Amino acid sequence: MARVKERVVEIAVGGSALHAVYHDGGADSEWGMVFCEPFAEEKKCAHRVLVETARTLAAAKFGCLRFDYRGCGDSPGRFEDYGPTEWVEDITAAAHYMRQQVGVRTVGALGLRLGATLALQAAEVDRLFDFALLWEPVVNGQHYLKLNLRRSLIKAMMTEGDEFASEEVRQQHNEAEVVDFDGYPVTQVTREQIAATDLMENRPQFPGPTLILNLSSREQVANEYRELAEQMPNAEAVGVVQEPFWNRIGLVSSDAVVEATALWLAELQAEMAAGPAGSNNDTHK
Amino acid sequence: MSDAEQLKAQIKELIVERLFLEVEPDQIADDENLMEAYNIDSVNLFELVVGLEEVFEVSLEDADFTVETFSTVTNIAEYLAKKRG
Repeated sequence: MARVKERVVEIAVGGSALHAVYHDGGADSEWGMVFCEPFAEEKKCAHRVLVETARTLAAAKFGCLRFDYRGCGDSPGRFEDYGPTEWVEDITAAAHYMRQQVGVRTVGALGLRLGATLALQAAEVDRLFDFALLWEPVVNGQHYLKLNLRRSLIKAMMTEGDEFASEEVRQQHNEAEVVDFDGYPVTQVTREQIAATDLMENRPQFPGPTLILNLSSREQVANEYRELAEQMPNAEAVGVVQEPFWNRIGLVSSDAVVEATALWLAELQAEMAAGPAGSNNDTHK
Repeated sequence: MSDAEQLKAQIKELIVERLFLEVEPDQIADDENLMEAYNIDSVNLFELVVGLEEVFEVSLEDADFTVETFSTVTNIAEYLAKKRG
């Protein structure tokens, strides 16, 4: 792969400056993507794959912008002081940055897990994006929180042995003001905002072409993703056999998901080039 | 194949599939300790629990979380049989 130019940039939002890295797609690049990263430990586990994806897509002339939400990574602030409301604002600011500062004409979102869900929420408000790639989006926030509780229960069970008390862990998750999600202090406000997320109940209206990738041990698409795609104006769901790298600490190959993503983008570019106007005239400005 | 044997075979397939193990399902012995034999840590066990719920359409209760429940294929099968009534 040819070496891609990368530069650290800052994105102004809410009196802060988000830490971001722009992977340059080249001088003649008219397409770009804002990477919307997942939540807490999933972000850390997915970091390498997202960097590799940005480099791969930049080599294919897609400018890619990765950034840290406020309170996360190298962006300013404490994790517990921010939540989904601010992170949607951060995504919005990143998309504006791509259009106004970088000058990319066609801007899409590439989101993973909760980041994919937040990208859809941002796109609802402002029609920020021309297209969206959603990797394993969180469809139901309550279920997502339940999975996090499961993770905590299992971790406690494996480490505490006979001392393990499931009721104690459950109570802490449900009632404490701040809950420890694998080292990340998650406030009640953030948990409530996540719990209120239900993409089946609040059907996303994002009109741009959307690919939902269901990444699992099977090619068969899970019902929730199939139904979500059916409910959206212009979405399709595809199953890809891919180890869940956002849950893994070790090295996991991401070839399958990157290949599926690049393929869909190439097809989308071809479709838009062959559209009625013969160009990208129908993209959101 | 009896119902119990069929259930164990399904569990073994699920373990291999969900944990991306490089063994054949029938190489997993019914009573071998999964944690020790396949280095199953909390991350793997999480994947396994989510898989069990999805494939066997059961909901695991918080109180059900014990190392013993998930330590062998036999124990998982007994647990699932009880859950499914």
